[in-house]
Amino acid sequence: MTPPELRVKNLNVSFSRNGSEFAAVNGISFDLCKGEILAIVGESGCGKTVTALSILRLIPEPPGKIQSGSVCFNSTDLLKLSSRQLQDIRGRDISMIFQDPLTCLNPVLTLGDQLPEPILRHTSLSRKEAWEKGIALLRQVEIPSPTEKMDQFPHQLSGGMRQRVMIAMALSCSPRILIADEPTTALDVLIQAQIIDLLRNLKEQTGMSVILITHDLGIVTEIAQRVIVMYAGDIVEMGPSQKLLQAPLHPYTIGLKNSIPKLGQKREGDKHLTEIPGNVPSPDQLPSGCPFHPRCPSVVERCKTQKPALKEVEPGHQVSCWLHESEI
Amino acid sequence: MTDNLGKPNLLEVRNLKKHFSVKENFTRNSDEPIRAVDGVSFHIKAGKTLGLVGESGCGKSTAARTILRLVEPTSGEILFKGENLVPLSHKEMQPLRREMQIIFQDPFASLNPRKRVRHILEEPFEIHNIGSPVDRKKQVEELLNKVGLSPEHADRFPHEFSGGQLQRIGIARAIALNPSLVIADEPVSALDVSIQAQVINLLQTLRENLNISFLFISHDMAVVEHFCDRVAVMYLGKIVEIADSDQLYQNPRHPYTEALLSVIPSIESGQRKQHLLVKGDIPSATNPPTGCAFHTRCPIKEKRCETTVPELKEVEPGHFVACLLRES
Ligand SMILES: Nc1ncnc2c1ncn2[C@@H]1O[C@H](COP(=O)(O)OP(=O)(O)OP(=O)(O)O)[C@@H](O)[C@H]1O
Ligand SMILES: Nc1ncnc2c1ncn2[C@@H]1O[C@H](COP(=O)(O)OP(=O)(O)OP(=O)(O)O)[C@@H](O)[C@H]1O
Ligand SMILES: [Mg+2]
Ligand SMILES: [Mg+2]
Repeated sequence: MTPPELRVKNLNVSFSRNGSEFAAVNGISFDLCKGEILAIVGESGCGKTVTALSILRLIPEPPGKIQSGSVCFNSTDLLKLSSRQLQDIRGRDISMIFQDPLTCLNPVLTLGDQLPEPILRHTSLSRKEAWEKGIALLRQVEIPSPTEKMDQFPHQLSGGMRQRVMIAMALSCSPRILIADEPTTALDVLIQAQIIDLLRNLKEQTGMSVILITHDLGIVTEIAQRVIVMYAGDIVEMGPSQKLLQAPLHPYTIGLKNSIPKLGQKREGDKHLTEIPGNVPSPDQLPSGCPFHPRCPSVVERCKTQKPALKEVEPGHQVSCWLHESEI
Repeated sequence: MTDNLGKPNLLEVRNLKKHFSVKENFTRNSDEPIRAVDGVSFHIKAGKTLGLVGESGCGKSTAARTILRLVEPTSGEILFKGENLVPLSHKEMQPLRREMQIIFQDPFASLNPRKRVRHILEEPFEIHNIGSPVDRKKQVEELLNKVGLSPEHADRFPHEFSGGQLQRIGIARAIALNPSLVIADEPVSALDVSIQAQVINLLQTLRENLNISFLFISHDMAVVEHFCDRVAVMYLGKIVEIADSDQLYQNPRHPYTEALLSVIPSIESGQRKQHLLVKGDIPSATNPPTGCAFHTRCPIKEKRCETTVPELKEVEPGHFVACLLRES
């Protein structure tokens, strides 16, 4: 087996709020393999963005703090690098697309002012070459009349086009890893499908690895090879995406899958949606034992006091649930 | 559009238009109005649910607000129980408002943060001068029970609730005065999927028990199929297809409807229904394309689509489509 492109080990991230500290990410470990799309799913507040930001040490400190763990890339621990060394890696080897493109594009600069900037910083190309590269990138992400677009401001573009520009910028130095945080959530379904197709094509052309954060399980099965399911700062299930979503093992993953209405479901006579009862717990008020136990339909006494660890139940498929403890 | 079953229409909208003028605020120097709603007709029978779907900006919310006269229509008729609302003064509208309620997308923004839940829920009774203070207190408790909360929630403030709980309070407020019509504008879009299922099930139960008709706005095709008897698809201010939900989902006629359905990947297989590729973005409502507004993105368009505006035509009983190529 080839070594992983990125190895996250035992990552702990906490935030302080009103003087008290809580864990937003709770000692998680995972590998990103070469050339794979790895999806991270889970409900709002479960720690997806914090995980992604921690990889590039973009967590605002304070109130955040990476308490412990390592993020190995190219046999160096990114969490131990100086900020100057890290700057060289950000945008060149690992780049990130954020959920809201407007937070990343400067509203008062034209695309032509912004796109060449990372290229100039990370390569030895001249200004003119960087400009040409910028146009080529816009073309690569299928933006019509790219040369004209270089003179336009972000607000003159539609949401879908801005998202493409973000992707173009993230790809400008041919990164080995792309981290995409909900790149399609704010977009209409037809545009969403275009962006997903684009990401898949780019991954195939460039061979880069992708961490894709989403809450759309359909997209996960469609383009990701593996998926991580998070709940309240923990990984509760991880494995090959298609297999895992066809036959999920963790009661939370099962609940998540069942609570989503599917096309044709009602016609087949299924009129009532399966609910997950209760609410997503706030991270500063986590239940004891397994954090999912108050909402779990299969809860047993042990779940209320003891927290299960992530264990492999079949090759490449891991679950943290007492129900599956016996299967090993 | 009459129904052969002869049940009276609760709501009938005839050729409704809402054009916004764009004089000041906009940088683009055009006097053309935004045709947010541009000649929309439909009806809802008592106890039935009509879904309204379409991409962002196609005019769904504007249609909803215009029907409630929260914004004034440019032209058209809005018949509620046979009475045209358009010529009514605000005073004359007042008693009718009891019967027509709205639920908004963002539960945080739609509830007054400084008021306790009790006051939020008593308000509709006060406005319409219904019941004594003692009665109202009892009513509030009953309402909270109906939406799956408990009476002790009455003394809390909105910020003490989760998003799903707040949406329940929004629903409680909407059903307080036993309305016959509820307009739900993206009522679950801001919620996590596990909570979304809870709220959809709640709306379904209320609908069955209280015989409420819904105009249900969403951009999620699967959610709409699940909840609605009949579905209207909007594109740039116009309805392009309307049919009973089974019919529309199994036998879509308009290429736009087909596209909306075909891009949804299945969670099990990751496959999309078919690859009906729609390129490009939704055009601007200020300057809609000539002919069929969808022709700029339509995968099957012909020359005549660029010039001839298609009419909504009945292709099967109760199934209407506005497409020159699919009308027979
Ligand atoms: N800057 C911050 N200050 C305080 N708390 C934070 C901050 N950023 C994140 N958190 C907390 O960390 C937890 C995890 O947040 P995170 O943004 O990773 O969630 P997420 O899974 O990305 O959710 P979403 O789907 O809503 O984007 C949350 O409880 C959040 O409140
Ligand atoms: N008060 C207003 N003044 C000017 N233009 C408006 C106003 N309200 C809405 N519009 C415009 O009318 C069009 C329709 O907007 P509307 O909010 O009804 O769309 P929508 O289908 O509800 O979209 P979304 O899915 O994003 O909620 C848009 O082009 C919008 O910019
Ligand atoms: Mg996030
Ligand atoms: Mg809207």
